[in-house]
Amino acid sequence: MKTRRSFLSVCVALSCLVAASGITTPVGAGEAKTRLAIVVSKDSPVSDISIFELKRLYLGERINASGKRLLPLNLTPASRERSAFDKTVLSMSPDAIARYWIDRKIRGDSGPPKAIEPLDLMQRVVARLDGAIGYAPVNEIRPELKVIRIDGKAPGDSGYPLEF
Amino acid sequence: MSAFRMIRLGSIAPISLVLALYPSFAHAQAAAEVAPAAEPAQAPADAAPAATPAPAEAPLVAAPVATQAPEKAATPDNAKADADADAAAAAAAEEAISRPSTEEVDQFKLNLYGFTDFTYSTQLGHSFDLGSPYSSFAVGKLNLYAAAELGDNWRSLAEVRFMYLPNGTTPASSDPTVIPPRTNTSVGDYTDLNRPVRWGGISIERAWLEHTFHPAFTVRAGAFLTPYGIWNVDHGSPVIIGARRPFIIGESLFPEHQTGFEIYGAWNFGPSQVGYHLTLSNGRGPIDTYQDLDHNKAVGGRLFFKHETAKLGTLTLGTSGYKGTYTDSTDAYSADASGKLVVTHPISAQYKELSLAADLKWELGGALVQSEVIMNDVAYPDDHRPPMYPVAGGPPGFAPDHRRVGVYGLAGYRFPFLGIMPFFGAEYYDVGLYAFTPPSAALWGGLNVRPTARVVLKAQYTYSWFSAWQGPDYGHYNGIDLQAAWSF
Repeated sequence: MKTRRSFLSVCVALSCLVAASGITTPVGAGEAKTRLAIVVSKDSPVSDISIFELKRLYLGERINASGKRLLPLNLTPASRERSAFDKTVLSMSPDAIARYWIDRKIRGDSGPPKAIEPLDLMQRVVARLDGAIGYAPVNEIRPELKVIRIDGKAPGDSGYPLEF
Repeated sequence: MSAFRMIRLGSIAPISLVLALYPSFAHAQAAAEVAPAAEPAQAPADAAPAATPAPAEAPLVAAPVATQAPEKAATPDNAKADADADAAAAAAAEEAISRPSTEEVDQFKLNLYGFTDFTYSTQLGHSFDLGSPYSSFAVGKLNLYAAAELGDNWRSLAEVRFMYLPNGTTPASSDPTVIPPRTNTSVGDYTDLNRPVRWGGISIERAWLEHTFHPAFTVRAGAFLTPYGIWNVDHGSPVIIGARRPFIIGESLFPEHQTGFEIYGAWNFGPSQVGYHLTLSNGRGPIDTYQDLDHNKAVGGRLFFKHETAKLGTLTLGTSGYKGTYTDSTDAYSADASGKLVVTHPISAQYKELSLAADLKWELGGALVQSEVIMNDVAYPDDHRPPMYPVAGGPPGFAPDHRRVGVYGLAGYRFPFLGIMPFFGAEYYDVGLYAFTPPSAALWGGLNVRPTARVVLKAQYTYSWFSAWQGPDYGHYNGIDLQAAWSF
């Protein structure tokens, strides 16, 4: 009985630890959920963006923040983070994204955000390019970048929308 | 290099100071608490020492510093990465906002692309007397785009359509009993022993320059597609769901193109967006692309509201208007009593027009529903009311003021597999007193398949008929169109 109680206590404690972590949530054996952070250079005055603005920005619309035009940077479609971003922010499959940009160009609108690979290089560009904005898994963010909130939520907050 | 700014590398945000400086300690703590359990290999290196000097600026949102990649010492690899980042930043700046610089001028990029379609059309049963009884293959539109980011929020776009026309067309005739001969553009080709070659024409679909001052204020100048409804701007074959646009869209109830100025912009309010377009142009005329033949500039506009939610998808509602005067005149030369040459511009045709439209588009996942209703009022001054010839013969009368109204609705659903989209739609068109044809209606449906983003295969069945017809029976149209449209 005592052994069983101890086992339950350990389980409860572990569950609490996992729940408290917030960012990385085990979903199965060897599988964990990762959160994407939206990043800008440390000097950027941008500190918050709404999920709708983020979506519009990455769908080609011009968005100004703090009086400055934001320049979205993407990873290439083959990357896991890009797929996750497209799914969680744009709610579009890779095929739908491809169709979207073809149609948009035929309409006469501007083209897609610049795609840069690998992730580290994309982050370096975000750090250097005035107004640039990008994304990265929270555990791979370069130190010269600043994480901004999405609808007031930081990556560590519950209800943070960019999780995959 | 002026398009971006170098920042000092080498500052690592120490956990303790970041947390102390950041006002929202709770968030920072939450972020910092997330031990990188899933990334055990990084954990030791990622742990920033508490004694590290304070950064110049604390991040607004404390990034999970404990999991940030550490700044590495200068190595050849790092130097190469920095150089790559510099180059990529320059390229990104050039493609996006790009500011004038010598490098940019030297490395200016012109973006060339376009689309084409190839269609097979046949009438089933040949029961429509006004349509061709023969099935045909045709290369329809071959449009080429040249787009460029010119720097400092200037952008340019030119779109031209290459055509086989005017070869084979029959010129309009003022006398309906006389059919002019077909236009023949055959000429001797000097590169091929003067053997005959048929030349075609080029239609300038649009050519404009625009500058964006703010997302809510962009000024465009040149020739542009009239911003009304959905499918006048989305006019490319790969974008159109069916083999062709609904009949009323091609009926020019609004002018398809205008030459002048367009101002547009949008404001975002969370999930909602409100946008506008305003136009000032020559309006319609026989040579409106380069000359206005009256003092009445045409004005128009569009207002739209867009709202999106995760559950209900994206709904766009729009309304558009256009008001202008069509005028045709020629130069007439005469001499006054003193012998001085006098040039006058007598008007040979004129009417005032007002066009109004409303549109709706709803998208949810693969589902699409869209509809447009368009009307056009034409009023002639009595001294320029054109003749109208009765079909049954007899002396011509005068064209009355008239109203044309059309509406269509379309629904479809695109499946993930091969991008297959079954669609169906209906339309109705009332030409009013504009012509002797009665109101017409059509039902159509088919499949739109996009095996790749750039290739669209379409099959469409169309059934249309005249409604409320009390004259001769022209039968009904019953046809199939098969089309391949692709962008390149």
